[in-house]
Amino acid sequence: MIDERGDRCPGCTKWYWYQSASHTFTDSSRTQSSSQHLHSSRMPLDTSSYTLSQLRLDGRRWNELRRIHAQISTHAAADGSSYLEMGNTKVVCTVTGPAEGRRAGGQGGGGDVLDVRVEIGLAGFSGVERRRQVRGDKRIFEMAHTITESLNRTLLTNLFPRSTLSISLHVLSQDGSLLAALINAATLACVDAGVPMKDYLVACTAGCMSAGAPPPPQVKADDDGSNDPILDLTALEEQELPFLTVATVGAEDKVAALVIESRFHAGRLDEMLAVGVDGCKRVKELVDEVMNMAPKSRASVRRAQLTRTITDAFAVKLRDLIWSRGATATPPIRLALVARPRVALHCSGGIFRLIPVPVGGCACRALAVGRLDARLKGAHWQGFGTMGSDGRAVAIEGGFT
Amino acid sequence: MPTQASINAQAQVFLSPAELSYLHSSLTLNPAIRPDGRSSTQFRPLVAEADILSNANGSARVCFADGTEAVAGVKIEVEKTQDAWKAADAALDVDDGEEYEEGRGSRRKADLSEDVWVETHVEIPGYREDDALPVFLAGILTEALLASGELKQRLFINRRFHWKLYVDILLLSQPLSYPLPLLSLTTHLALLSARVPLLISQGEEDPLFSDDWAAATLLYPRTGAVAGDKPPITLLVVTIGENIIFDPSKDELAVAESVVAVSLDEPSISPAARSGKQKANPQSRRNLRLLSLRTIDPPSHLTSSGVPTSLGMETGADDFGTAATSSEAIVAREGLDRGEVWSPPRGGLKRNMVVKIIKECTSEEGVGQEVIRALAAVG
Amino acid sequence: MPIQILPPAPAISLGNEGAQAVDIDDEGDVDMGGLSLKTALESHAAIVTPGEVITDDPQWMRGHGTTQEEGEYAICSTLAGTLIKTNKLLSVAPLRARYRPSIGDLLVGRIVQVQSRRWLVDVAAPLLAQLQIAAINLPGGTLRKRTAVDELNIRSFFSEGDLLVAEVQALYQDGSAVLHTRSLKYGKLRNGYFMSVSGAGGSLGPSGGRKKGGVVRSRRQMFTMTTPGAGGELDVILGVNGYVWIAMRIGDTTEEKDVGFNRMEEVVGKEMYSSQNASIPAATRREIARVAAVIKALVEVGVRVDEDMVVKAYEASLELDMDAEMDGYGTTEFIGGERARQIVEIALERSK
Repeated sequence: MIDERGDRCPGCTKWYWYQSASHTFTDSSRTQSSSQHLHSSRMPLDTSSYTLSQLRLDGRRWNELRRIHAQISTHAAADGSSYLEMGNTKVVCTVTGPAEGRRAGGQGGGGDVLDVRVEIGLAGFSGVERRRQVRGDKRIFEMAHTITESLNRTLLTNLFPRSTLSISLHVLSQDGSLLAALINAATLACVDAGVPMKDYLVACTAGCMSAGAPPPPQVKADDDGSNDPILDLTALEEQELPFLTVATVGAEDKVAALVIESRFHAGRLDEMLAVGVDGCKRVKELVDEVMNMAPKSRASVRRAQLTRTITDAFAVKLRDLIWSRGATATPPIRLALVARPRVALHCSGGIFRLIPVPVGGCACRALAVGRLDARLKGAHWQGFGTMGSDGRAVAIEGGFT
Repeated sequence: MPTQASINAQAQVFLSPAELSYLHSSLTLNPAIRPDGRSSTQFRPLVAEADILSNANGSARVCFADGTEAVAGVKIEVEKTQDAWKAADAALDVDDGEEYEEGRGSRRKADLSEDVWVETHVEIPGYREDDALPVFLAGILTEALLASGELKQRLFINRRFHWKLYVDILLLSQPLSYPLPLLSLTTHLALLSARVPLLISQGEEDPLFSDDWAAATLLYPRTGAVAGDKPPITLLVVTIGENIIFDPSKDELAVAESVVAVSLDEPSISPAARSGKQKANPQSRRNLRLLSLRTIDPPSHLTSSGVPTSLGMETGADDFGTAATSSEAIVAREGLDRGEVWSPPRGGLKRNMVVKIIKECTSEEGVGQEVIRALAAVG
Repeated sequence: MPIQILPPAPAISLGNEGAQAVDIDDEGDVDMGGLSLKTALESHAAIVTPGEVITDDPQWMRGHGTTQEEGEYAICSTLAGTLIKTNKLLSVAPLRARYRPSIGDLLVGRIVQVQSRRWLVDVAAPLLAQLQIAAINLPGGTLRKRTAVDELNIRSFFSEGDLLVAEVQALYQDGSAVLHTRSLKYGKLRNGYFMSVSGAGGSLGPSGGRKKGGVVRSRRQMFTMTTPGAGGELDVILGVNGYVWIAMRIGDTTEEKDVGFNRMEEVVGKEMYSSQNASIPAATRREIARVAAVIKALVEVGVRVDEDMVVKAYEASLELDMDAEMDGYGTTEFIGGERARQIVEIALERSK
């Protein structure tokens, strides 16, 4: 039950917005570092709501990708550049080359194929807590190596002997699927630079809800879906659930890279891989659309993406919701559909307000929706929805209690 | 293993002696003729936006016209204050309670520990963390931030806790020209847009903050009693002959006789003016405050001089007799007037030039004010 | 004003920008502003993307930018670009790529390495170009075999960082170019200003990646412009690789016709490899700066850069300055943003 100010955590003095009866969220990332507070970010992922509503924490179904926004040629001075957002994971990539090194003989570029070099930089402000990038971080090095190897197989390197291609990746914000976003950004930047390649190299992540148990031998009639694999994980989900990153070449099932850093039952691999490859196909379609668009509108495929994935996820809009309850109030302001992190609906003094619930450290501004008739004042509404950081878009599902 | 990027980054500016001589002689004229036709105080148009990242307290992105781009992010986190403070107080046997109830005035003893409340980190592609250039740039920016002393007051929460300010700046492209002004402007914008959560707790209890991000306050408020405090900016100024040039491009840097980094900020409105009857007009221009002035080794020192025609071996290649003997060549080369042939500038910055630079930067109608006004209008 | 800060160009979305008011009809579908995704794709069907199958027909042969699997007839594209059909040959021209040299191109290059018998020249291509010591003119026009002394004095001809204009003589298998300067028109450059319209330090403009602008191959890459007043004459060299050189023309007695190789010593000066500039008056310098700004403006807007456009844009900028002076605004020498667009528009109109 939500009262006017949200629920009060019994263990502390803080207020939480939530979706179900238990705590699912921490406070805003910006105040998180106060170590005085007991409820820190190490809360277990609450998946109990999943079985009820088939929706994950940010309102997606198990097989839905996050919003992908991609732009190429963002950097005038570089040979190729791209900017990619997968949900809240934001990556910038610049490519220089193919060019010959300025040293006689040179360390690299001495061979008869193109020498691909990848550098990854994680900004200190990219995570929820500020963390300085440590030189020689093995995980970063391994990611760079994976990208280098996959690109070596995809690009037609025999056309550029003795040259070097320098790819520089910068991570501005991390919210899960980091390696996948880096691979996608690198591909886009290479296409922008005019480096020939066999096909797009795209990647995405897949995980599974239950790690230890083997998959059931057959799908039962009352399967509540709690054993489903899930697609495109956020940072919270990656912390708790096993996941893998898969990269494919083109739209077929050719897997170029597979990275698994967690443990799970071997029987789960097949379905996770299938879900991942399917996700890659959809990422490839989106990347294709970005490349295909008219030069003047190389832009995000925001709206196209959303109409496909959101409308089937959320069947009810706020306007309809209120109308169906017999309210005579004028409908609130018009709403467009954009997918973003979760919001909670807060009713106070007759005004509905959508408060964003920070997921993985993101935050957006609240949106005042409108006034309701006095009859509904004080009504309790429970549900969830999604809202854009431009504060204008929402789709909600839920009901009055 | 040095990457290709680092190899490119360390390559010098390649310009032929003829080009260098042309640029130098153009810039020593009065008025200076810059290669793109700007006036000596005109900046190239730049693209700037603030508050672009939702996971950082403040962020900004600035692109210069030559394609270099930088992104800065500000993160502010609560940190427990060092115990050295308490130890110092115990040693001096001061009455703690009253002093701290009064406010912030009497924290002289702990000044040392406050400098670590601000940490700046600069990342340049192709350079390692401990290379000279990123460390030097981070040092200049931190020094400018701490110089005014007011920032520390804003970061104070109570005796046991304070805010720690982390500024991370990413240069997204190869440093074509000296990246200092770009980084400084980006930091300025990021700090202007930085927000701090609203403090709910009071006094000395454990700090507690409001969940409502809309109630967060700006680190550098734009209105109110403390308005007028702005983060500092650092400009790059180049002297050639008797001329001062702002916002040098890569070519102009290559022929500069001296390069100076000037850090400025707006002095705060004095308490008397704040509480006084007449409201200090926030729009009125004041002289800026000079925080620091540092010289930077100009890249022109790394260039090699051209050979004048009279001394060249290639002219009269068949006739070695007319080529100058080595002693004559030395006399000619060391001579001051070399005509139109390039030679790397020698000597440092003249004193009257320093005065000129400071005047141009800090005056009310000067370049510094223009830049600060323009940045305030962003975002 | 001294400083001008612009807001970033917004990410243009599909459909009209006035999509602040998005209509939601009863079914809950979003109106895409009149331009559906499908029609947008169809109107630009000529762009192919990597991995896309262009054709299955066995009659086509594959050219640059395409690939074909062994034993298959399907030709796939490897680049993002436009499809070019030449008789039976299918090739893909990339939207954006590094310059690829071809024989006969006139290039401006910069020496980056000096080896024992040749120089390596940066021409903004994937590989460095080579210039052999046998491929340059000796000062004084002498015709003789290059000796060991010449090799020892190689730096007296060209040293690191020197600019030169040369022509591509041949191409190696891997695509690197072989240059020569065996003509009176070619050789070391001085008395002027260098700029690059591609690569680092130069910008291809915010045209979203479509390289509409840039230097195009035209009949005349080297030309002379007359400037009004005391400016004198300017030599402009538009290298096909995007490197541009603008210099003062030295009043010379030689004509630009072809001189037979047995009379070269009468014509080739002894000072062709000198680094010493002549004395250049201030008015000429201003005009050189103006031409440079005009070329940058052309690139920013995305118009082709060739002799015709440069001359017309230059005249347009002169007129705009004169108008501004008469109106009392004073001449603002810097050409950027709005002024650039005006100048280019006028030039485009005149060239029609």
